[in-house]
Amino acid sequence: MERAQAIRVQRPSRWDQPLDASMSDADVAWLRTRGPFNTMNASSFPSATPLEGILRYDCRLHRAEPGEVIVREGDYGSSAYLVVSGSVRVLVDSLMPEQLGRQPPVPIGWLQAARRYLRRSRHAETRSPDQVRVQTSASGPPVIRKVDDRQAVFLQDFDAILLSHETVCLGPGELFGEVAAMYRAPRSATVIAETEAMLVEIRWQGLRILRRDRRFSETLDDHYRRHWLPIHLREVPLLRFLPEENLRRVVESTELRSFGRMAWNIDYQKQRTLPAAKQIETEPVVAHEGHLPTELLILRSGFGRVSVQHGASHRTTAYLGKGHFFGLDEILFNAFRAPAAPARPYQSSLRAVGFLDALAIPVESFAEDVLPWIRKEELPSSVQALFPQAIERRSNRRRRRSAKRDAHADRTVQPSPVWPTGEAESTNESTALLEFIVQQRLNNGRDAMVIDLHRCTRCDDCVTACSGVHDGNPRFVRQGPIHDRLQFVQACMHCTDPVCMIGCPTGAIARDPDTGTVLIHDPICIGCGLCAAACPYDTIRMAEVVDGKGRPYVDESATAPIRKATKCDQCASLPSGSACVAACPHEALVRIDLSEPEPLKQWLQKRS
Amino acid sequence: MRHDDRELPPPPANDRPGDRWVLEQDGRRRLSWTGRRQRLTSACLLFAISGVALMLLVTPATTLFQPGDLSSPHAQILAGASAEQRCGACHQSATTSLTDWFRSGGSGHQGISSSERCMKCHHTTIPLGLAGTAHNLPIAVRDRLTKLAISERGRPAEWRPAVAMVDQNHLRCATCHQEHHGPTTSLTQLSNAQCQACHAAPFGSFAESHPTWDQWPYHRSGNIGFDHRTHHDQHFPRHHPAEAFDCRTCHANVRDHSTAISDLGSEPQRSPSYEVGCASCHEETLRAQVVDGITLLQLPTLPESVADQFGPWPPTAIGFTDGSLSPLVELLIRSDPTIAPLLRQIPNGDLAQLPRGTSRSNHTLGRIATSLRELMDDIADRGHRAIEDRLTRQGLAPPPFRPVLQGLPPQWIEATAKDWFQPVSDTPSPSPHEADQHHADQLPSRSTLANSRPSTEPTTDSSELLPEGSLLLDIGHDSGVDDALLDEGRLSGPADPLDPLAAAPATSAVDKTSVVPSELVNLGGWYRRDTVCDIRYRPAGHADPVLKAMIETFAQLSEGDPLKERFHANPVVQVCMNCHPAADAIPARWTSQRNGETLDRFTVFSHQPHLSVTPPEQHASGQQNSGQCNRCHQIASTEGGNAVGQFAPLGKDNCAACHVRGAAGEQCTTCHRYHIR
Amino acid sequence: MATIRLPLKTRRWVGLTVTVFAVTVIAAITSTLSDRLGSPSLFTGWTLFSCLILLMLLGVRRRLPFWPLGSVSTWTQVHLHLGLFTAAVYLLHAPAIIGGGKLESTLSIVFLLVTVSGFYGWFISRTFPAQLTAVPGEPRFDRMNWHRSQLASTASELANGLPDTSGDQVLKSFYHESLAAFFSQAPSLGWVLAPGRTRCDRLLGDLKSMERYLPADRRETVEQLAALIRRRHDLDRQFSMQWKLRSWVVIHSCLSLALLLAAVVHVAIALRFSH
Repeated sequence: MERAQAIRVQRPSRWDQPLDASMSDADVAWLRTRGPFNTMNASSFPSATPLEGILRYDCRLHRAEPGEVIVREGDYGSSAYLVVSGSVRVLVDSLMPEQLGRQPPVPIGWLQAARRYLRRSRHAETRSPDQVRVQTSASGPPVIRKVDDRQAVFLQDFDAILLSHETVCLGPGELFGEVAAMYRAPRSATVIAETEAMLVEIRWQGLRILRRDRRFSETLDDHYRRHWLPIHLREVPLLRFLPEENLRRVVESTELRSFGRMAWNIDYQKQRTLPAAKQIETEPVVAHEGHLPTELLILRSGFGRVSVQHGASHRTTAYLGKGHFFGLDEILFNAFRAPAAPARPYQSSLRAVGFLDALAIPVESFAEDVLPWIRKEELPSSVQALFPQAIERRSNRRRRRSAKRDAHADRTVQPSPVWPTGEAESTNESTALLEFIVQQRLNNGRDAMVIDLHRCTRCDDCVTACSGVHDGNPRFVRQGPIHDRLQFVQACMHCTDPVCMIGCPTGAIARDPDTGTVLIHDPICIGCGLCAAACPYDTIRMAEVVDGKGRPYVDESATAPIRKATKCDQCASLPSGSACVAACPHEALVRIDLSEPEPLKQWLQKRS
Repeated sequence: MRHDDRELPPPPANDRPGDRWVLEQDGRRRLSWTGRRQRLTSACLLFAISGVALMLLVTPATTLFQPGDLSSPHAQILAGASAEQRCGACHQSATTSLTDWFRSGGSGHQGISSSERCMKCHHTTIPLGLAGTAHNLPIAVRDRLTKLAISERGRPAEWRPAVAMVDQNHLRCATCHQEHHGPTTSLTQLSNAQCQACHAAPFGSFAESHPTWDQWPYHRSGNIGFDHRTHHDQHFPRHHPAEAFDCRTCHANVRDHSTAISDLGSEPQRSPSYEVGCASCHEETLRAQVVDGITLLQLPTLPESVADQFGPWPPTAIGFTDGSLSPLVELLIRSDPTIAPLLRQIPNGDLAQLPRGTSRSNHTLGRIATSLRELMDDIADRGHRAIEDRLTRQGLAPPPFRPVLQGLPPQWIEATAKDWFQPVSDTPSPSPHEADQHHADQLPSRSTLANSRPSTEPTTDSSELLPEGSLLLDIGHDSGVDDALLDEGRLSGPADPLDPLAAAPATSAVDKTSVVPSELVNLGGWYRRDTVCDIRYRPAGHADPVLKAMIETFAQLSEGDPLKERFHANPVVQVCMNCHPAADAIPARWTSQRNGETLDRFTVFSHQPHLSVTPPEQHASGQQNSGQCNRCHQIASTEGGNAVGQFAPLGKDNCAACHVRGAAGEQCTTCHRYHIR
Repeated sequence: MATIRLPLKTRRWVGLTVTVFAVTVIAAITSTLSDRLGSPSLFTGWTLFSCLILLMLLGVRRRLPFWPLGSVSTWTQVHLHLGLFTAAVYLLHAPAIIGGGKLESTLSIVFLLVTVSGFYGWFISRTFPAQLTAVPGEPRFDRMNWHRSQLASTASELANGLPDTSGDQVLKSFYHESLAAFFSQAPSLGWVLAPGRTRCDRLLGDLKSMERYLPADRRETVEQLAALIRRRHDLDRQFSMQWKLRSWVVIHSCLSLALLLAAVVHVAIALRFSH
């Protein structure tokens, strides 16, 4: 509640909270003399947000020492870095997690699990010394050291790594990390300071305004279109059979659109308590119901709410996540419709929930370059039913072509990401649940814990089991928002958009690349509490740790206790899988992917 | 949130449900549910363990561990025993120590099974050596029965897995008799399937697959010559036309004769006693029939030429050769081997049929007379021993004859001989009637016998006929009685040889005396008639021991012996033998076999439960049981020969009408017994 | 993560069918053994004993959360149907509902108690959750005291914060006479076993009738107090149901321990004295 109260006193003013309060006018002036800021035209910025303001409030000077890890592959971040002096190295291939101080969960046998279970600590949050502090050894993992007044992770044996890994050197004036910052994507590479380097860290708000400078903007766009857009488009299943030539043309015509606030988690507490109608009205509209579709929207990140006008307000019929389309049905209908038939407008509106980042492919480009390369069976069933002869005609042609692509045939095709609107409208119940999930931003959850309260006997066996496999420390509390018979428990959902990972200074909280589970790596967690503060669902707890005898660990210099972030780790190393699910005697508890409505719907159907 | 709700702070989110303690907001710690549960569980365990320990201390282990009450017979037997003895009576294990429990073949076993412990008491009813074999039959016998059953019924066609799970040669008592199921549970209760577990070809339902029988149950009868059919069809309707024939008049229930018919709680008597069943109709005629009695000896009437050869011969016995040798006396005198061939030449023992006047006949008569005289003298001299010797000499066992001897004083024989054979004197003798009267008063004192010598005066026709007249009077009197037996014509026997004289006037006799010698012993006993010189026995009535003894003695003679035929031809004997045809057997069977004591049979039957049953067809009419014996026991409609034939065979159908599932039941154990001897 | 499982209704029918089938098989074997003069009680006895041990393994599984051998819900399903099966086999095994003899009757009674508590638990585990959901609030059992004291202190703040006017004095004294005890005391065991609405309704009624003695602007305070009473009542109902849901497990498991103990003795004695 304290955090919620703190948000209440926030004033609605830009730059109330500078990225770095210690930025001085001298620093700004110095930066203005360095590229690319020296070439920027200050008049192209609005008076409310002058260039100096951006540099002052949205930037920070970041002095990196040799061997310091500046960004890690897989991290989420909201800042881009500009090299002012010195040089940094971008690692083309991946580092081992251990080299970054992370310890991926090692599967253990049940014997070891039993031993661990029997040797549970009597004290809360017990840690062995090596779990609290990184071992400082010659060839060991990196150490955490203070640079200026922040903790920084250093790569041990940096020279050897440079030799054994392919790297790219970035010098002054070069920008990196901007794609991850602007489009809420994981960092694609690890960047390490080669020499002592001065960097400017620019947060995404500032970065967005800086794009008003045409040259800067063009550079960024060009960079993105050339390097990232083809990759992003290729990741869309529907487009995977596109020939290079067509893809190039699509890339050229595709536009990038962003809506809403990236830091949606800050607004979350306030937004979720609003009435549904009000909340929908505050959400930026991406596409209007009733307008003719001019472009196909592919969600790159963020969330969208699909709603239809219902009486005086809007009713949520679906929510969209990463990789989902909006307007596909309508565009296909228009493409295949009889010549005399009227074109079909958008059947529903799309709103950005929090923020939404989308790729927009113009209808013309879609019809010309994409449509011929979509497999018949991947088209939405409604379109297939409406235009049998057209599909038949096209599919004959396509069959000849597809013969060559048999190698790709085994690739699984994602089910239609579009919520079948007709079904959603059939009952108020499903709509209410959808509204609730969107309202509470639970659609972010990839592994949400849901309890069926009509089966749950409140025995707390799930929590007991959780504490049993976590050395006596439960990693969640059986509480959370309730809708009808479902309780969405405050346990880490291992979100699609892991806002907790943004800004972790040491990369201690990281997503496991194989399972997608967000894990905290104790040894490099410095207990700053950024993740716990960032998590909008209150699932990360900061715990003061003690040793096996119950003596608290304290800071070397001060008497401040050592704290560690704790949360659900999905029992990653246990042979039994999630202990909470396995321990429920009445099958009331499930870990479920809420980023799509379908799994929850199926689960509910099974227990009706 | 309602408008009037005050917002309350959410509870702290640091629950640790596995912990024993919960910190309250005021800083105190309180037991968590886990803590309380742990405490409760340990308290419960402690309570349970201490409870068990207390129970073990207070209650002896044997009573604690006894799984259920014993059946009441066993419980009564073991009531006084100590706890160890009580268990140890049947369980070898009870006498072993706890440690032996966990050692197989411990010292306590010694191969003693609990079945052997059962036999410690039950050896009286179950043969020891055969206790463990099925039906207590020797294995060879069982195999034979099995083969018989298979040959009769064939091997079972249906598939049947290797039958019983027990060894038929080493059965344990507990296989069927399960103890510790309380006093009310029957120890002998077995289901049909259990009964037939060992049987190669088990039966299905009683009605359909039980073997049939034909003669059961009548083949066991035959000792008493009673014809149910004639009694039912002829005699009873004739003499009691107004009454309905009721079997239970005779076959009354045993328990209480007075309420025989209404008392349904006891078994009807299979063979009613004479007193119950026969006497009411037959007693008087029976007495009338035997009033003549049976002759022990009679001096034949000899021609004077022959009679002169001996000393004095009673003058009443001199004349034309007449008289016959009674079978009894012939039996006694033919022990002399020299006389036996002579006796065989006399047809039917009737001396009158000997050729008259031939020397050969005279010789025969002389020998007979001599031997009669010798017999009497012998008896007079040696008493009963003389008779027993004579019987023994012919290979007959004397004991059956003893009841005859016990009532026959040798001194009386001696006196008789003296009376008959004394030299003729002029002293007027009292009239035979007076003598008889005197005789009857004084019998059996020797002096009286001596005094009452028979009159040696030549009897007049009338005086000779007088006794016969009195007999006729008897018969005439009897004729007045409604005698079914006489009517039947069976028991009347051969026509009385004296019958033609019946027309003689009796009134003159009555004038002189109304007492004949046989009437002197009207309660039965020995008497003599000096007028005809015979010694007779008048039976007392039914079951006269002397007559029985005679019959049993003659039964020892071979079948072809003419003497036996003649004995049986005697009307008095015939009266007996008509109803007791088996009396001629050795040993004599006077009574019918008793029911329910045949322990060697597989089957048992009790009338009792059947008597209280309302037959199915009467349920509808609401009639109560009427005790209708003839529901099962139906008298055969055709004329049948033997006793069995009187009744229609009682087949399986009669039983199967009620004995089906859901009605009277078709349990094997209803009719069959497992343990046979 | 959602594993493909049978819908609950289908699973229930499958479970019951399998159980009935198993009982039929056991009954057939028992009657065959009995017909063949075998030892049906030995057979059913061993079946019962092994079932008992299997049933008790659920408790073991619950205490070993790391065990990869199937989820507890699977074990519970097996436990439920096996329990049903065991009750049926018991009827085949025991000569009477309650056996004779001291040990045997104790064993029978304990078995029946365990069975009855099991069926009771089965019943309330299926019926109470929906009722609990219908009662507002989702207090955790170990935090019930916390909620209770929060309500009590809020109520006392409300009452004691009133000014000392004569009108308010009525409300204050009412609070001290009736409400203070209601808020501060935990519900009695009797109430927990058989909860009712009477006390809550009476207090609400009294409060309502008090309104006319109060100044007009105290209406809101009264309503807030009424809301607190209702919340306290809801909390107590939650407590009652959650307490029952937890208590039966304790009784069930304690009794089953005793049952196992007695069963072992029974098995030893039965084996010892069966020949």
